[in-house]
Amino acid sequence: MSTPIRRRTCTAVAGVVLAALAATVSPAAARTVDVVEHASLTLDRRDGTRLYESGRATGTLPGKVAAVFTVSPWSVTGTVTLLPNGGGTLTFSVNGKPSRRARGRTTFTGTMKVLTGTGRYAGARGKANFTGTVVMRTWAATVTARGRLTY
Amino acid sequence: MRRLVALLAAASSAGGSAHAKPPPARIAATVDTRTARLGQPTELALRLQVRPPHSPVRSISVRYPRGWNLATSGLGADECKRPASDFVAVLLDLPLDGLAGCPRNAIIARGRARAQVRIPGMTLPQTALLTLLAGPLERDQLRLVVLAEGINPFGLLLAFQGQLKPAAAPWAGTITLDIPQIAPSKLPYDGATFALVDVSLILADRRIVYHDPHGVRYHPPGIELPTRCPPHGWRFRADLHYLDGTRSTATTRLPCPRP
Repeated sequence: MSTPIRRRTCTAVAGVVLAALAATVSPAAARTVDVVEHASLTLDRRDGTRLYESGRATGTLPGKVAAVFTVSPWSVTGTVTLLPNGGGTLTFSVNGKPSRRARGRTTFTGTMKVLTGTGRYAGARGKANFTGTVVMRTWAATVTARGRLTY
Repeated sequence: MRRLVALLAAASSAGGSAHAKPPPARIAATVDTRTARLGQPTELALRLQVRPPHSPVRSISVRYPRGWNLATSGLGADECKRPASDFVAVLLDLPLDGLAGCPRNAIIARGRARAQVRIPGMTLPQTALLTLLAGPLERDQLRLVVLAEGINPFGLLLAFQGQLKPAAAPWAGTITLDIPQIAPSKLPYDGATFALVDVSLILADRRIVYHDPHGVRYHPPGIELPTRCPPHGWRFRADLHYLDGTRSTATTRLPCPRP
């Protein structure tokens, strides 16, 4: 009569042990977060059609930002590298276009996608839409990006 | 010699057509030799000559070489928006000596044009001041507006439209200006026609003044020369289409500035 009870107990114990093992041995489950980032960038140098900019980001992943943009009258492409305060890096490809110019500022919109990540962001994936403005005298830019990141 | 004059013997060729062979056209591209340096911003002067105009020029397209980028010049920090009807009418009923309501931050070049006004029985030379302005970006091309202010003998304000768009290699982009005929009934003399003979434009002219978002005056830096110059200089090409359906092409090379 006691056999079924003993079998159930053993099964339950095995389940707990397996769950504990899974929690300690397997890699951490990927987490997906909605990201809203605001970045302020200033021009470091210009090289032909390339603009090298850097600055700081606030929002979901605050930290430093470095960017290289290739600009034409009809497009903005390049890469943006985010260095969150908690470590690691995230590099995005950027594809956008200017939409409107007024009072010395150009507004632009586009999309960005994770190219690579390091540290805690190794293997990260995700994409975002962004809008921004750039002051054409100084090339200082402010950008807001909204998207989803899995890492 | 203040300016580095591009090859004076600019090549010119005529496009195929059953009409009379179009006249040779010449284009010259120059930069200021005192200040132009590789990798540094500069102003760029373009001059196009049509001699003698057998038929009025209908459109002009100028291609500029890879490595030249107007986007990083800081030019066109605002947009000039004129109604489409302006470019149909061409002749604007607006005061001279203005920008037809366009912002100064939209100016990207200033220049001068000469035309022949043909009236039955006589031909008069007409001169005009030109202002090239940046318009809005539409379908991957930047709209352009040219305001021509007639200064002698007729005081007229004309508006033309154009586009700046990407071009296939070895070019970076094409600047096209459309030059429709003005309705004869609108001209001071019935039956008169305009025929363009000479256009000079200085892009990023140092006299251009912008205001930043804080209202501070500044000069847009200009078109940054590429960091490398090809062995025979940079090539520019002009394509002209005439009202009678003929066309002609002119090319020139801008020699490399001193290192």
